[in-house]
Amino acid sequence: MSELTAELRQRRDAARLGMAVFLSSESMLFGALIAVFFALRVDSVPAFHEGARHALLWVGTSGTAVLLAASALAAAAGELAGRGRARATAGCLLGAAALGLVFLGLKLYEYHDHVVHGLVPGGRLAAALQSFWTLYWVTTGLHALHVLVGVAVLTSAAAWSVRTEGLGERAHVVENCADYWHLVDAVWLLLWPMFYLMRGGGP
Amino acid sequence: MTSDSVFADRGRGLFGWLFTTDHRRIGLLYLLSTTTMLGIGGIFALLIRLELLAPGQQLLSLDAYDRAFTMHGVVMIWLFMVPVLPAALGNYMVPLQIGAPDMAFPRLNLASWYVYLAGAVLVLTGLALGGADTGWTFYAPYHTVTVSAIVPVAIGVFVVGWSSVLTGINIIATTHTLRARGLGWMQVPLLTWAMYATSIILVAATPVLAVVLLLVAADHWLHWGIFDPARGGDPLLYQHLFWFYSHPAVYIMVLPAMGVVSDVLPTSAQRPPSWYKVIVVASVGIALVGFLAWGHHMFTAGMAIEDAGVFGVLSMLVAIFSAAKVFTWVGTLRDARILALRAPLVYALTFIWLFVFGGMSGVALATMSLDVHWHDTLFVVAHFHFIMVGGTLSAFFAALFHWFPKVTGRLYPERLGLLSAGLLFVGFNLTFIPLFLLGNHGMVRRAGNYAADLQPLNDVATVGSWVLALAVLLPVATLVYSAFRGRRAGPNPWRSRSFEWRSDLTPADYARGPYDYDEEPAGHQVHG
Repeated sequence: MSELTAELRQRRDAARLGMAVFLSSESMLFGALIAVFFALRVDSVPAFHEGARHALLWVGTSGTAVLLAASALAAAAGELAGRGRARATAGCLLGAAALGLVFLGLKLYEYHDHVVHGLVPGGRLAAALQSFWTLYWVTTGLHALHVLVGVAVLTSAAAWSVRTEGLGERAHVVENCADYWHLVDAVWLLLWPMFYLMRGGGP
Repeated sequence: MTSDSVFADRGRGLFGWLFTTDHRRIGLLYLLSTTTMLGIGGIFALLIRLELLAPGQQLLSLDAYDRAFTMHGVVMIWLFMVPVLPAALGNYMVPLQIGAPDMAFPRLNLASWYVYLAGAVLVLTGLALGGADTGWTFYAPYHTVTVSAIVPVAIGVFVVGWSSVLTGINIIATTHTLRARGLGWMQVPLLTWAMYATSIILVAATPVLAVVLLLVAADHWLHWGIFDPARGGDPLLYQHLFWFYSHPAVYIMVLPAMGVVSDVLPTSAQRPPSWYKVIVVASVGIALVGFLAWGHHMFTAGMAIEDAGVFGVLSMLVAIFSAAKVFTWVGTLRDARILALRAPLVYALTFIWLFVFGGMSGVALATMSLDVHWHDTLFVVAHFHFIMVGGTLSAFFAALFHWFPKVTGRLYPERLGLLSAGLLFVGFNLTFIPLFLLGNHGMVRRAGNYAADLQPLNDVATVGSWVLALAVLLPVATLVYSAFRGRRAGPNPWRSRSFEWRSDLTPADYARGPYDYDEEPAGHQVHG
């Protein structure tokens, strides 16, 4: 990375900073929902425990593993891009995107299960359970939307990295895409305990 | 820095504008669209004041009155005041002030304008469907039970919010990475500093509003009821989240306005600001402390005395930063050997007047014992119009007149400029001083009717609103006319030393800073 022209270095710095600022903005988006979750939970812990017991623990947990593996691949892609290894970079990015699709498949299965069991707010749920399920749908839905965008971002980054001359000098593009994916992942690491693990009834 | 005119050269015609990535053109696109919104919001303002000309019903039913004040607030705040200075003026001036060729992400910049447009269209669609009637704050339970077009309005504001985030990202990245060689942080012009501080708020606070508005739409549309107590929700939580964005949003409107004043005054007085660093620190300080003051909007909504005390003190911290700025401005004026009496200066002085009185009434309102008396009365309406609306409008016009020769290469007739500025001062005070008095007398806000003995003051305010309308129309007409027929201006008619007015700058020029005036009176200490 030592041979960068001044213009390229400026563009890289701007892009890395721009992505960092964007991700802090995204953190506030999910941060607000997480704050709402805990603010409402204070007054109705039993209902939130009950809600979490209805979420499918195996889906949440395997989803976590899948996303972590995808994040590892995305991080590796950033490293490989810096060394100019285009095909390996693309392979890692596509692998991460595929794992993202697996996560979405798991989530869709779970959503279907919830609908079948009537775990949808606004319907016949008890008032105490409304808040949990509203937050569940809004937060995990918004997260799933981010995963979907992430899959598109990783896929197009893969296509871009095999097409690009001098990938090593433009590795920041891949790193930026990977950073976006890490945020999606990090958010899930908070949602997993919130909606699946905090179910009460034991040490 | 490019010296070619924004109107000439590449990309003439409509497409040259609609697909431009030139930050100056995007700034002007924003200016055109936000000023249009000022017109629409202004019509609602005139309708509100006309209805209040006399007690009883004049031309609006109570329901139509609710919709009028809601749409007035929604259009003015989210489609005019929040975007106008960062997106129109910031886009145009930030790269010029730091010697950057353009914004860091020009295509993202254009995208932000289209996002803004999409959001504005949604809000206007909601308007065409009858508008919302919840007040611009969309409080629960109003938004859960209303039958008005709350969903397109809320989603529209949500979309507009993302254009703010994109603009904020661009301004932050540009200021960090694209400053000209030799231009350190402490030589960055104060307008750009203000835009930078504003961008922190845009980026960090807007997503919270976005989440809230999504939940409002879900509440109303799908009956999910996260803020509806009947469904286990919490209406107070809505207020916390809403003001977590909307209090800092006040500074989205005021900080850039302060930046305008901070840059207009040194040019008018032909001397450096009396304390540059104080303004820098205060700008960033206001942006950060502004995040911690939201609770003062909720003193009467159910809050522990201790919390109210903390929120009150934090709110007053903002006043300390603000006062430091005011003293610096006054100091800049005090020792000026010459003071060019031009429209931007009169607007800047109007800003200081409105800001001082709006700010001091704000300190009073941040005291819980006083707020209990004034809450939900016209006193609050007068307070925030003084500080946000008066502040934004006077700085908006100061900026338009000040940078007009830079943008168009022409001069405006100074007498009309001074008349416009005078009209704004008179019109604004005439409209809103009576509202302070009425509010203190107990007249509640958002009411289309009032007791007969309150009519004289209401009539003064209504007449004031007509003066205010003239104070908006006259400068717009003057500037549009002058853009085509005005006398040619040289490259720097105000003899400003700020970077955007000068060309062929070297790193050494940048290192000397944007307030490099040599007419400083001997014996006066220049700080910073």
